[in-house]
Amino acid sequence: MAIALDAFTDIQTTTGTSLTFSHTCGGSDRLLNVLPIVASGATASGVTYNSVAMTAGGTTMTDESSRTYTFWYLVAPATGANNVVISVTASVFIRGTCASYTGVDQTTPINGSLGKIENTATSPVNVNLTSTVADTWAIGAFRSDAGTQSDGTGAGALTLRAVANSLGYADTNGSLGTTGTEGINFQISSGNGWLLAALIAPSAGATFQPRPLAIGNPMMY
Amino acid sequence: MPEKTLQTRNVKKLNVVGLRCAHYFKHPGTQDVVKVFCSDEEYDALALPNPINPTHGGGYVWVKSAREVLLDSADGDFEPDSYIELGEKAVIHLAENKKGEAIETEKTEIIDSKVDVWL
Repeated sequence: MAIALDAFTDIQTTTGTSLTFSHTCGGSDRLLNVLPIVASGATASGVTYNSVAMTAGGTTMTDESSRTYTFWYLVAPATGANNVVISVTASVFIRGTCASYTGVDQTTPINGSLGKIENTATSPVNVNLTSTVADTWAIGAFRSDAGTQSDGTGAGALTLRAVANSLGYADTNGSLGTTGTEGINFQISSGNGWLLAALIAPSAGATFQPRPLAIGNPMMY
Repeated sequence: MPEKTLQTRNVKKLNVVGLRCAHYFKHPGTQDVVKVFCSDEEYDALALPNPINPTHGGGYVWVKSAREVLLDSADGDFEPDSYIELGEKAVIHLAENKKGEAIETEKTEIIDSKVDVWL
């Protein structure tokens, strides 16, 4: 079964200690990714979906303003409309967004290690990730501190899903194909960029799904 | 998108005096946002399975809830063109921001109650 995007929820914000918003999951072999972006002075202390605790990815990215970005994920989240709750350790500015996928390996949803690059002036902003199974997708948390940001380029191009104030969530919107190392990336027009990326693995019996052709970069922010 | 310009705004400092919970609703047509305060118990219930999410008349749709800062303003909320300090950061609510929206910056960027923002 090939990975497919189920749904994503746009960036929500608050200034406080907890943020709640709804997200609807459907389909089979599901994975939910939540991305809390937490201002300096606090850290995400927990994320739940439908009251089930989510797992934090091991790697955190920190941007020029000391905001932290961490993926939290949950295998087989409940179907239907349920609530994501992000809790942080002190009152700060919080952003949260999430995306759910179908066709994801329910035992080892994250393939290999997360990767990140921080504070680079080179565009595309690129992180090399190595897949050990075929037909992975990449997901990314990104930041651009000046200018605009846009979808990536080449085989590892990220599609920007949820963007607000030049930061947000992205994925490759398709399979990376065969195993091996791929440059996961997005583009910046100026300034510096940050990218935290991970690979999600398809459930057993995945069949290759070619990625849609990228034509230009219509999503400029 | 139209080019952004750097504007200097006068902003009033408010102070955090506690926390309280609120629901936010947006009108799909007008994009207008309404904020309704709720109890801690009502907020915590949103985390439970099969939640009964809040509703609002007039075609407004629930978009989020939060346990958020309570300020020393008349209604406990941000005023137009006001800000608070949280550690080394400042959170600014501009007059054109909708309820529950704000921007963050370094608090050192606010000098004599003035701040430069890209709008």
